[in-house]
This record gives sequence, C-alpha cells and structure tokens, in this order.
Amino acid sequence: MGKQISRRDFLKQSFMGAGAIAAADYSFVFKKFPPGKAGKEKVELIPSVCEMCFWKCGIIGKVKDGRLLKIEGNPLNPHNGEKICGRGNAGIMQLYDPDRLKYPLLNIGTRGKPKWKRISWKDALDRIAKKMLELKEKHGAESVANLSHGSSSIPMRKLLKNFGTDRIAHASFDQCRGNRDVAYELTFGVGAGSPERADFINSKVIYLTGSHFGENAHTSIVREFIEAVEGKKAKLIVADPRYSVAASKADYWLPIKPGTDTALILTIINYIIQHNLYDKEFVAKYTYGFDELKKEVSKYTPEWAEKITEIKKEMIIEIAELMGKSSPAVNIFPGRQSTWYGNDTQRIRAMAILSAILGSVGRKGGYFFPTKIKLKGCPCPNNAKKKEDYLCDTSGYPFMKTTTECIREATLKGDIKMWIVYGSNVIHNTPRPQKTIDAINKLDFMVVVDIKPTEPSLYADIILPEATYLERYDIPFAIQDSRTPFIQIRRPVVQPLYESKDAFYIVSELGKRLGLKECFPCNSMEDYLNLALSAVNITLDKVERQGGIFRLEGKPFLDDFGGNYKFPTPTGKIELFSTKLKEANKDPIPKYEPVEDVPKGWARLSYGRSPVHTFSRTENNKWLHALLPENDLWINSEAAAKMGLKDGEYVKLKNQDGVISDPVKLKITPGIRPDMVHTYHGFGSKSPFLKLAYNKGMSDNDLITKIVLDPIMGGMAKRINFVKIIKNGKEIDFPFIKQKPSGFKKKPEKTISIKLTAPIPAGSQEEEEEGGC
Amino acid sequence: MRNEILEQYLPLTPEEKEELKNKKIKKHHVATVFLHWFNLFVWITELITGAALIVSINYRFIPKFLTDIVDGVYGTRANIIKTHIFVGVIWAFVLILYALFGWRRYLKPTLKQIFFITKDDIDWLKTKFEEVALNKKVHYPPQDSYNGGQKLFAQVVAIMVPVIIVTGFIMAFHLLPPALIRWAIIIHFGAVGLVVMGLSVHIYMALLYPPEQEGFFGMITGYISEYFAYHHHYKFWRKKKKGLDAPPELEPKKDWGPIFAGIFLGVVLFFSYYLTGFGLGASGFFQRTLIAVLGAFAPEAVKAHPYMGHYWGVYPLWNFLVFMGFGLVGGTLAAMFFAHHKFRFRIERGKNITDIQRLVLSVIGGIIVGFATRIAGGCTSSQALSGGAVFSPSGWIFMLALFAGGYLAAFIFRRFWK
Amino acid sequence: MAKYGMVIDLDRCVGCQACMLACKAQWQTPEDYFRTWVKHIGPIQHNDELVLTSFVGQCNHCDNPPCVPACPTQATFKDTDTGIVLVNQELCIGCGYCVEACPYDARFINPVTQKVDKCDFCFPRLGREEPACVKTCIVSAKIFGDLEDSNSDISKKLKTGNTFVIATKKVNPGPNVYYKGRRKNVEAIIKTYPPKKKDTLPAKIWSNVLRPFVILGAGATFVGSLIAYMFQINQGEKEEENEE
Repeated sequence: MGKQISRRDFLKQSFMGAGAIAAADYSFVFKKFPPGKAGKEKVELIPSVCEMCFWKCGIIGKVKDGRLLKIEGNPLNPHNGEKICGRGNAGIMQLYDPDRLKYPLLNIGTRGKPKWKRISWKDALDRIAKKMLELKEKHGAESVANLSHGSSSIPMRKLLKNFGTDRIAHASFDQCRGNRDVAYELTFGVGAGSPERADFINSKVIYLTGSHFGENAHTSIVREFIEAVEGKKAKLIVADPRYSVAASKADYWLPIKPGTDTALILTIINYIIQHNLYDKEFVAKYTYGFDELKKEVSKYTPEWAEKITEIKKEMIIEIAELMGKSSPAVNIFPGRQSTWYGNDTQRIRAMAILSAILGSVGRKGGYFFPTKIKLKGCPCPNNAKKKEDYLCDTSGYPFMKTTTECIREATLKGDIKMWIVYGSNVIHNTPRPQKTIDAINKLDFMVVVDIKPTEPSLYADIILPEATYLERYDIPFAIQDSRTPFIQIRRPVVQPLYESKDAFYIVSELGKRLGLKECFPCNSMEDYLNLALSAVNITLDKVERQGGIFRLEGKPFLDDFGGNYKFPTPTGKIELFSTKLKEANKDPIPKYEPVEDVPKGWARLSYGRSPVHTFSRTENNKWLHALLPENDLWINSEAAAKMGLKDGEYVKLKNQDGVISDPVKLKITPGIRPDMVHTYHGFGSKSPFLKLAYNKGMSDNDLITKIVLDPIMGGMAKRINFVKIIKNGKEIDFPFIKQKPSGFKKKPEKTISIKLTAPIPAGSQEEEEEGGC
Repeated sequence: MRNEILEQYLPLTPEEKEELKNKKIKKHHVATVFLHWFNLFVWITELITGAALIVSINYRFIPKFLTDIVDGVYGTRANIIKTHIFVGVIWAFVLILYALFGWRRYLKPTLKQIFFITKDDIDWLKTKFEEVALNKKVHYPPQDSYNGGQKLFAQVVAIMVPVIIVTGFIMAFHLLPPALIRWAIIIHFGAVGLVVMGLSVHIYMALLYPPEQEGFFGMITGYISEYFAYHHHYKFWRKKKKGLDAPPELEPKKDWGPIFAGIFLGVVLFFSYYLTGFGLGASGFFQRTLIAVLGAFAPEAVKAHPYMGHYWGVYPLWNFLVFMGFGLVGGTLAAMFFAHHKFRFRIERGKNITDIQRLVLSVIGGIIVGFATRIAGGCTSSQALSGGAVFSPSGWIFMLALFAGGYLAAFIFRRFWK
Repeated sequence: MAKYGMVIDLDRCVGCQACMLACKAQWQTPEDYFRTWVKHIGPIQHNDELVLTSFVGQCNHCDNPPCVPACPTQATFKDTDTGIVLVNQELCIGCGYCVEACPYDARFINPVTQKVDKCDFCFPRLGREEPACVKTCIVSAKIFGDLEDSNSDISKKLKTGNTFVIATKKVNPGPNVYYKGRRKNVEAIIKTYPPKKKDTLPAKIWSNVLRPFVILGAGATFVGSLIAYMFQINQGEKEEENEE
C-alpha cells in the first residue's frame, strides 16, 4: 500500500467539484486536467470486485441515493487498475435486469414447462432441507449432487461436503481448463493458474496456441499482452486456423490445420534440441528426463511437420530459431479453454516442456510462480467419503475429478436423486444437452440457485434467487497468481433488490435446518471475513479503508529463491519425463496422435469467446445485448463462394449425428480455413423468461454431440464435431479446398512522421502516391 | 345630403364634407382593436426572438451585431427560445379563443369579406400601382371596409398564421419525427417571411401615409369619421348608412343531391386505397390523440397500460389515421366557405328535450360508440365504409347490424325528436 | 485556452467495446444508441493482406465542424475555451439538420429527450476524470488531452508518427481525433466507412432558395415603402386638395 487514505475519504467521498477533489488529494486516482465546469452531484464511491466474468477485477461503484450509476475500475487493484471491460461496465444492467429472479419460486407445473408460484424463503428452505434429510435417510448423503460455478458457490460446496456428499462438479474443470492445469501440475507441480501467470511484459517472444486475446476481454492479461506486443515490441507468434484479433497483431501467423498443434510444438522442441538452442544450464539444474525427451522427439522433423500441420517448414525453423535466440524470455502461453481434440493434456504437456527447455519457467518473460496465501475459514469439517471411483469408470482416467459427465451418468443409473445447481447453466455448458435433460427428468428433486431464469431453472422444483455480485459479500479473494499477490473483498454496492439473498444466508439457514450447526457458526458475512483475514493479521474494516485491496509480498521468480527452487513434483524438478504418468501407464513424454480428419463434405465446428459476453450468462443484459444480440458463423469466403452462400444470410447447421441447429447469420471472410467454421459460444437460449436472449443466435453446444474424454483427466473434447450447412431446407456440402503449406510474416512498415498542424487525410489516393508524406 | 350620393360615389361639397367630418361611425369592435394591438406586441417579440435564434451562417437573415444585441438583452440563448415558445403559445391560445367565441360576430364576416374579391378590389390595386409607380393622378374605385391592398395582406396573414402556429408547435413540442421537423422549420420561416413582406407596407401605410392617418387612429378608438369612411370605404359607409347591402347578397345556391356526396366519398375511398393502401377511418384519430395527450402528462402510466401501451411509441400521432383526423378541419373549412349560409354553431336537438339533456345523451352515446369501436376494431368509417368496400365480412355484418340497431334505436328514442 | 483532442491507437485496440459501454453507462443513452462506437472490420482482403481492425469512433470535434453552420439555432457550437463541439440541449429543437450534416454519423436524435446527442469528450468530467471511454480502455488505446500543450501525453503520442485522421481530399472538416496504426488498417476503415459530405434537402432549400427570397422580398417591400415615403415628403401633403 503506497498511500493511506481514511475510510471516510475513500468510501464516502462526495464530489463537490474539482476543488473538493484536490482537498481530498485524489491526484493518485484521477489524472489531472485543467478544471472544467464540474458537476455538483453527491456520489458515493464503493470499492468491490466484479463478477461479470471470473477474472475478479477490482471495481468502484458510483452510487447516488442508493442507486448504482456507474461502475469503474479500482485504481488500487494491481491487475486491472482503473480499467474494466465492456461487460464490467454493463454490470449495472445485470443488477437492474427486469427479468431477474426476484423471489423464491416453487414449480407447480411440470419440468421444462414450469408454472411458478412465489413462496417465502422459510418455506423454500424448509422444503429443501426436508428433502435432503429424507434422501440422506433413504439413499445416503451421496444421492445429493452439486453442479456449481462461481465464487459464491464455495460456501454451498463446503456445506454439502459437511452434509456428506462429494459429488460436486465444476464445468470449469472438465469443460474448460482442467487438462491445462493437470498438464502443468504433472510438469511443474502447480497448475497454470487463474489469472494465468504469464510475465508478458518482459517477454521477447510470445507464442499463442489458439488463444484469442482481445476476443476474450480478460482485462489485465489483454492489457499486458498488448503492452508487450505493441509497446515493447515483443515478437508474437500465433498458431490459429482463424485470423483472430491476436493474429492481426502477430509477427507470425500460422494458419495451422486444426488438431495438429502437438506436432508443431514437438517439432519445435526437436529443432531446438538438435540445434543446441535450449537453455543448457537451466535444463541441467531444474529438469528431469531430458535425454528421454531428446530421444523421443527426434523423429519430429520440420519436413514431417509441414505435411501434418500445413505450415511451411522454413517458417517452423524461423520460429524455432527465434525462440532459441530469445531464451529464456519466451512465453509459451498455455491458453485457457483447452478441451479440444481429446489429446489435450499431452498437447499442453508439450507446451510446458517447450517452456522448460527454453528456461522460461520462473524467469522474467516466462511463466512465474504463484505465492501461497493462507486464509482461515469457519470450521466446516468434510464428512464426505471418497467415492469417486464408483461414480464413473475412472480406471482409464488417472487424474479425473468429479465431472459433470460422472454426475450425469450416475443420475441416469439412478444413484443420484437430487441436484443442487448453483450458478451453473448445466444445459448450456455441457455437450449433449438432451442427455442432461434426461438425467434431470430422472431426479426426485432439483434446486437451482441463480440470479436469472436460465435453462436449468425451467427444470427446477425450487428456485432460489441469489443476490448479484453488486449486492453481496463473498468469501475473500486471495489472488495468488500474481507478481504482487493481494487480497480483495467483494462488498455490497447497493442493498439487495427484491427478495434476493446472498450465499451466506442461503447456506447458513439451510445448514441450521440440516442440523449442521458446526458449519458456518459466524453471525454474519462480516464476521466470517474478519475471521478469514485474521490469518494475515488484518481486519475487514482495514481492508475496506484501504480501498478493498490488501497487497502482500510475492516471490514470483526463481531469483527470489536464491537459485534453490524445489518444484513440487515427485522428483523435485520439472518433469519433462512424467513419473506420475509413467505410474499411471500413460505416455510419460507427449507423442503426436492424429485426431480424426474432417470427412469430405463436412467442416469442423469451432467456437470461442466474444469480448462482450461471458458464456451464456450475459446474453440477457440489455446493453450487451444491444452490442451483440446474436452470434454469427465465420465461414471461408472461397468455400462460401463455391457453396453459393451470401454474407449476412441465415442458415442452419447439421452435425454428424443429424442434430440441426437454430438459424445463424453467416459472416463470410477470408480469415478462416475452408475446412472449419467458427462461432461465439453462449447464444441460443431456450429460456423464454429471458426476454432478450430467448432464441437469439445459435447454440454451438447443441451441435456438440460427439464426445471424446481426455485419457488423462476425463475432460470433454468438443472440436471433433463436424457440420454441414442447411440453406432453405437443402443440405450443402463443404467443398474440398486443398491448402498449401503456409505461414504469414508481418510486413515491415515505414514510420511516417507528420507535423501536428497538417494531419494526413489518410483516404486520399494522391497522398498515398507521394509516399513520404 | 343629396340623395344621389348614396347611389354612387361623387365628390362632396365643402358643407357636406364638414358635416361628414364631424360625424363618427363605428368601424372596429373593441375585440378587434384589442386583437390588433395584441398581435403587434406578439409579432414584435416573436420576430425579434425568432430572428435572433437563427444565427447559423447558412440561414441567418439579419446581421450578427443585431443578434448579438438580442443575446445580450436575454442573457442566455436558451432564454430567447423559451420566450419565443412561451409568447407563441399564448398567442395561439388567444387566437383560438377569438376564433371560437368570435366566429360569428367577427371572424366569419371578416374572412368572408377578405376572401371575396370584387372587380373594385382589383381596380384599386391597379390604381394604386399607377399612382405609386407611374405617379399618375388617379381616382380610386369605391371600397368596402377593407380596400384591395388590405384584403391582399389579410389573405396572406389569414393563411399563414395557422401555418406558423402549427409548425411552431411541431418544433417546440417535437410532435413529429425529426425528418418532418426539418420541413416544419423552413415552412415556419417561409410563412413568416411572406407576412413580413406585407408588414412593412402595412406599417408604412398606417403610420406614415397621410391619407390613411385616420384609419390608424380608428384602429385605436374603433371609430372613424364618416368623411373618412365615405372617402376610403364607400361601400362600407353606404351599408352602414342606408342598410343597403352592396354588393347584393347572392342567391343561395341550390344544394346538390346527397347522391353526389356518396359518389365523391366512393371516389375518395378508391383513391385512398389506391394511393396509400389504407381505407378511411375516424375513430383511430381520437384514440391516438387521447393516448398522445395522456402520454404527454403520464408517459409511464400510458406505457404500462395494457391497451394504450400497445400504441405508445415515440410518436403516437405518427399514423395515417391521425392525418385523416385533419379531414375534420378540412370539412369544417369547406362548410364555412361553400355552405356558409347553412353553417351555424348550435346544439341540434328535438323539441321535446332541453340542450342539457341532448348533451348528456350525446356523451353517453359517444362513450358507448367509443368503446364499441375499440372492441370492433373500427367505427362506421372503417368498418362499414372501408371494410364494406373491400367486401370484408365484418364490414358487412357491421353495416347490417348498424341499420338494424339504428331502426331499433329510432323506434325507441324517436319521441325525443318529435 | 486549450484544444482537446484524442488519439486512438488502432495497433493497441482489440475491439472489445468497453469504451462504448463505459460511455453508455456515463450518459445512459437508450438501448441501441451509442455516443461512441467500435465497428468491427474484417477479416477482409485488403490489397494482398488480411485486415482485421476496428473503427473506433466518436465526434471528431472538427476545426471546421459542418454541424455547427447546419444548426439553425446555434444549439450546436464549438466551445472556444476547449475546442469541444457541444450541444446546448435547451436550444435544440430536434430537427436533426446537424445529424444529417455530420460526415461521420456521430450524432443521433435521442428518442427519449427528442434532442440531438453526441460525444462531448465527457465535458462534465473534464478537470476531474478522463472521459469514460479513455478511462476504461483496457489496452490504453485511447489517449485524451490538450493538443496545444506540447507536454501532454497526446502531443507526445502524435510525435511518434504514423498518425492519420479520417478525412479525404474532398471531405476534410479538420477532425481532432487522430488514428495511429498500420496504414492498411486506416485505409480499410476509410474504405468501409468513408466520410461523406451531406446536406439535407430542406436545409438546401432554406439556405439557397428561401433565405434569398425572404431577404429580397422583405427588403424590396421595405425599400419600396421607404421610397414612397420620400416621394411623399417631397410632394408635401397636397393629395387631399387635389381630389376636390
């Protein structure tokens, strides 16, 4: 903390024109401008934490007379500072969404076609507790499962473990980034973290595998990425079959054939080893199994890779040499959503290995270490018995945690009788939504805790309206994956609207009714927070007084450990050769395994993020909806011309299992390979209670019906589904367009200096011919 | 007094002149006098503020230093536009009151006279031109209470004033979409321009032209000397003096049969469908006007109302039915001019009931009809006329039911009309 | 005295539209109306390269703004202290002449107030905070400041070169929003969203037909009356006698 500001100054600051700001010394918050005709409104500034996505940006709510006017970034937050993305700005409309769940509801209709009756909280919680105790009596506590997402679901998970069930799944593990974290744990002993611990700002080379920075608006990492690429001129290599925003800023764009990333990375590893470009000192000191690696990858040559990946071999060599030269400041970014082709853990292992041999682990410009922050919690013993193995057949998947698929299967088998779905749109985030619905229909009871009537709530027996992130306290956020680790507190910016309640109320009241008094004995969320923060000798009051942020010292780099760092792996070193995988009878060193090729006449379905939406949970936000009401389908212009498709027209898609999608608008562009199509995930809501989002756009999830589980951690691969276009009821085959090996390098550009007084009208042809300007 | 004086305009002897000069004759009613000077005040304010509002180099028509002076007087430019709108609204209010209550006594006779142009009026204009432009010695033809020039100016004013008021209201209260406000503003400007062109002649004549001096004072006191009347407004004088109507009232024209009204209505309906794709309708005008008026006071309540909210957009009046409502105005005007011998403001009723009873019954009938039109989706115009014309079953059922209901009601209520 | 302007660094911009929403939150414009915009372009083929960029735009606060003379009531004016083009809401009658005149489509009629709305560089925040869009821009692609102060961030950024304005030889009202970035991106923006010189029909009729007509007509009657008065003074008041 650089500066001490009193709580009153920070939290209850009333703007009374520029003079008042100067008196309160706000110069560190607001850059100085000559005084203008400043307004006189009284505005309260309240620091909190955003939850329009999972990135946990610090925010400040500007509140007037109890109404939230505007959300801005918290300048004290070391990650986002005063910057927040579009979704963060539109958080107001999440709070004031007229379609919000307002009261506890009881479904007196049927599942899927609900008729809702308003009931009291007492009634709702009584019914839930009664049902849970009844099921515990009859079938054991394990018959209650939980599918959850988001920070506020943590108390519920603790309660359920205390209740005695361990059937708790997060889609974020098996649908998103589990394989990445497992791969990093196997190699370095710690996961890849969230936020990702990439030291972009010091990188000389950044390598992205499909990561589309900018199209994901994860504030701080996008900011640092752009600062590195555009400010510090780090070389950017993007391997992406689509000309993404990141590709448009890249020095090297590799339109790689989907599914062949592992081949490219193993080839680069081989080239670097063969040409002695790796960091020998680092490899000798910190890694285990280099010789095995060298032997294993020796078969991957650039000539071979050119055929597999459709990237020119010269380009591969150039990139490998660039990486070798820039070692160790090379950032091989692990990505985030990475359950793609079914062999993803090994792909990310390969990327981790490339990082390791370039010596960029724990080094400036590479991937740094997290700093552990230990906070206390209310005592809540875990009574759950370890019963994962009989839930799913985990014999093939050594690093599997409870996944949505396990719970779904167990429910269909009849082992699970009740779901508590907490802030997770299980119908939209897990492939084969019909299977999820079938499972739900077998349940005795389903409870949904959410802020909006999303699809699962159509099938719920009881719906509990949770307070939005702007109306509640949450457990303290200890941000460990940072160069300057810090603790930040989410506090209510406005009072909860309607009858919505926070997680603490729901869990403690439910706990009382279940007779689990030892769990959450605190009187209030403030008490809980004070207890948690006492571990680092600070109080809630003090954190709030300091603007909601408490910074700690971090030890992110190897140098901070005096050169004697022990990696938390079995060998204490970076495991190029994974002993754990060897034990589990899997390939200890990644191999290239080809994925299923696109059949003739079909195209691969790919999906990604939009900067203005988070999964399927922001489509009903009035402002975000105004910006992007529906998703479009990227399709290659050459293919589209052969198929007779026009830009902006609506078509349907049909996948290999005959599933037909909602209509989707075509975006025809040369910036995508002809053997694939791409769209934004999260659209096509089927809940008529979301008045804006209902039936807008296409749900990619509906089309993902073929699933392959990752052999190591059981994540669901999704980019192995193929589609055809249906236009006016007729099926149109995708043409086969042979791709020549390619790879694009940014053209050098002359700097044109101009005089301020005479700007160049850039559109004029004459100016262009004069050249120099 | 010689008798022949009365028959035709002849030079007077000095004695007669003296005699007439001492006699006063009433020319203007006090309300007209008041209105004239009220108009003067309003026009000066509106012209100054209006001119000062238009400062863009593309449209300005008075030099910048003049608008700067007005800016200085009013402090802020917002005050100028507020004054302009405020005075304009009061002006419109007064004029509407005048038109409503003074229709029969003042406005209708005046309008009738100024739009009734005789050969004498045209001769007067010719003579005036000869006098001013060719500097000839002239002899004016006899004039009514307004001479040819005055009539011309009055015509311009009578047509332009409603235009100015309507366009002004459109701009001040955003009654139409921007695309039409753009036209309203130039129509407003052009209409004022036409009035201003006549205004300088009017002011010159009244203030500075010696022969009209008495007319100026006449507009203050309401009275002029008989000599002035004899000299300048001979026809008016003769009427007053002898009760002779010159020109003689025309024989009332024989009415056309109602069959022609039916035929013309059919033709209008045909062209309405042919040109716009819509039939005729009337009740929608009232409904939308009501919604617009309510919405002006309580937009949220109207928006939330299950029925009215459906019609509540940004411009609830932007609908063809509303423009058909203007047909009411057009019909009234047509009746005024073409059937003025029949045009009356009065309560039509049977002998057996009083005015109050008649009004109460009308209100009750109106409410029933109003609800019925909303339930049926149209009134007689849209259901029977427009619907019937396109052979819509509902239209024909409506028409049959209308006749049946009409006969039934007539049977019951006929005693009121005995 | 100052002259405020903005530099938009297209190389940094990722097209996340945070600026649009910060602006919306600040000004509470109705759903589909935005004072600032980010229009995504591409990927398209431009010459032999692919282009994927965003047209980040707002009012350019031009040196010779076409909207100012287009406004009949001077509701739109260029503030002399800051160089910012502002709209006096009290004077605006919502005719939209300025909306039509703007080459960049930076103005709109707000359907709630029925008056014109546009970017004013967050004028009420001036002196306290940066404009909402600049403050929130997650990659600091927008830089706001005084163009006349050679030490300001914006002046320093402009000195680094490769800066353009969205203007052509034909349409160049002197915009004060500069674009920094690769030439192909700026060219693609101008090709996709070229600035247009526009004038509405009623505005043309007003300035070219109606105004001369009214000035000449009113002038002629005025001058005519004046001449008649001169004659009258010359001749003396003899007319009445002549008649006898």
